[in-house]
Amino acid sequence: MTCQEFREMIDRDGAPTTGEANAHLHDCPSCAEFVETWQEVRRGLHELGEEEPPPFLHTRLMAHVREAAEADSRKKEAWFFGLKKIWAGPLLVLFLGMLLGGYGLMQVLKPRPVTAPVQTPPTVLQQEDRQAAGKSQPRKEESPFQEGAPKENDKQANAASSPQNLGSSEAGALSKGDFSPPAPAVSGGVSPGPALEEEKKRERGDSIFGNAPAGEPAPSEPYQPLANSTGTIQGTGDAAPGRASVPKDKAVARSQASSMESSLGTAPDSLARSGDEPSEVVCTLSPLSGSGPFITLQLPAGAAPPSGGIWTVHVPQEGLPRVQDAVGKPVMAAPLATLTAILRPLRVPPGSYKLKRIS
Amino acid sequence: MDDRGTRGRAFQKEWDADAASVERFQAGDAEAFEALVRSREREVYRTALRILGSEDDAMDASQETFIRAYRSLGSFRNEASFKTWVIGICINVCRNKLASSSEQMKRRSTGLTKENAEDGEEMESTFRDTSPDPASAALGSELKQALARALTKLSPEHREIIVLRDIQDLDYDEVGAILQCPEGTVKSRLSRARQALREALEGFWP
Repeated sequence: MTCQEFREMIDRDGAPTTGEANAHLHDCPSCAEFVETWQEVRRGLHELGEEEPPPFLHTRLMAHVREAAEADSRKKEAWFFGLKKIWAGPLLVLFLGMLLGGYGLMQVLKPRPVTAPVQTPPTVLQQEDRQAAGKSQPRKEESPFQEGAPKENDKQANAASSPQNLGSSEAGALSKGDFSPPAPAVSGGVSPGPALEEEKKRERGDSIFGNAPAGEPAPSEPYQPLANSTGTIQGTGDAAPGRASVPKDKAVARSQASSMESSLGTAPDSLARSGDEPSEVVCTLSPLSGSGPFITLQLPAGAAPPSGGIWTVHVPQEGLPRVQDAVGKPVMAAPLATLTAILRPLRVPPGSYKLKRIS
Repeated sequence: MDDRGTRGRAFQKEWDADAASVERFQAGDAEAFEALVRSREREVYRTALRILGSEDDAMDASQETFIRAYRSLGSFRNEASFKTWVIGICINVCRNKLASSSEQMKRRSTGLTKENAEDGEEMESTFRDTSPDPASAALGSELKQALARALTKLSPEHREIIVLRDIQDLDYDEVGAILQCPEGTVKSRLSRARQALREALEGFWP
């Protein structure tokens, strides 16, 4: 081993680590002196490392650490509150937006009550529209009493309920040939049997809406708007226990009928309750000649012909219908108003009809 | 052999104590950090002092080291020893300080040289520190003063490894863990650093 190699070993390992290096150390006085000096230097370096730090070192260090910790927590707090300040407004707006959006979405997705699918039922067929029977033509304005209909429709309906407007609106609707017969209360066709059965059920107190909750039309009821028309009829008479299921319609109908009757000068209740007759009777409306609908109606007794009697109903293109009794005398105002209120939603085509009381 | 065994047992005891304090701190006991500071403050201060060569700088570096340690101890895993971890932080702090002071020195020197171009030589000599630093002046022996001065003449890389291995007396694997290099690299770098030290100690070396 050379002196260079030996000194490199000392530099690298700090001491002779092999037998050869130890032999060289033994034989080489220069390298022995080198190692001795190196050991002295290492002792000096060790001593440098054992120098005592200042006595306040720990106190100062801990003071700075605590200060830094407090600064950190203040910074975190400041960041948090800063964030709150900066983002409070946008977050609030976002939250409100989400709230409103969610509400709107719920409103959109909410199952709506069945909206007046004005269908021509197979039992009520107009002679003219027989070919179009079975086609469904939803017309919102057809049933102003329809629950869930837009307010505009209500307004329109109220406006149409006035004597001035009734004729023109009816005329418009009738000229289109639209006709929405009421299923439960109004049955059409040659045989009035099912309608009579329905009426008998109703008289027994059965609700035509089955298990539908009060105040809400049964969603599965196909002729719901017509059922509402029934409510109109019922509203003008005494309320039966089973008929309390359509209070809204009843109220609307009552207000409609009363507004009409007030314009004609007589209160309807006096008619409905007059005499010992039953409060409601079943009548049929059929065309005097030619084709036309055959409708079974449930009417207040006061707005129907006397038992076995027949009235003639003239439905003009425009204006109010005219009603004449068997001898051709115009029927007094109150029954006319009630009849008008009942016939209007049915959209009876213009023409002359025979109103016959069958019960 | 006995010395090595005693040292190993002492090392294990220190490791266990540090690990317990670290666990306590991580469990939410902030006071446990004081125990860690007390156990490692001398080593950190001495390391910083020998690398930076100034008591004030060493104090600043020690403070910064423990503040950094406080902030990062939450994520420290006891896979390494707290000692090597905190000395590693200290080495990084010292490097940053040396880099920034060298940058400042360069900027100041450039500015002055521009202002007094004719006295450039003079200016250079002004910033060449030849006087013994207070830390080495306080040392008793002439050798220690010479060693302290020689250390300041070494490159930061050589100074670091001399401080860790010959002053702090850390094992090769500990030095490797701190400097993040394998043992072979530690040895070769140490060899070059000792040669440089020997050259810096011209008057004391045969």
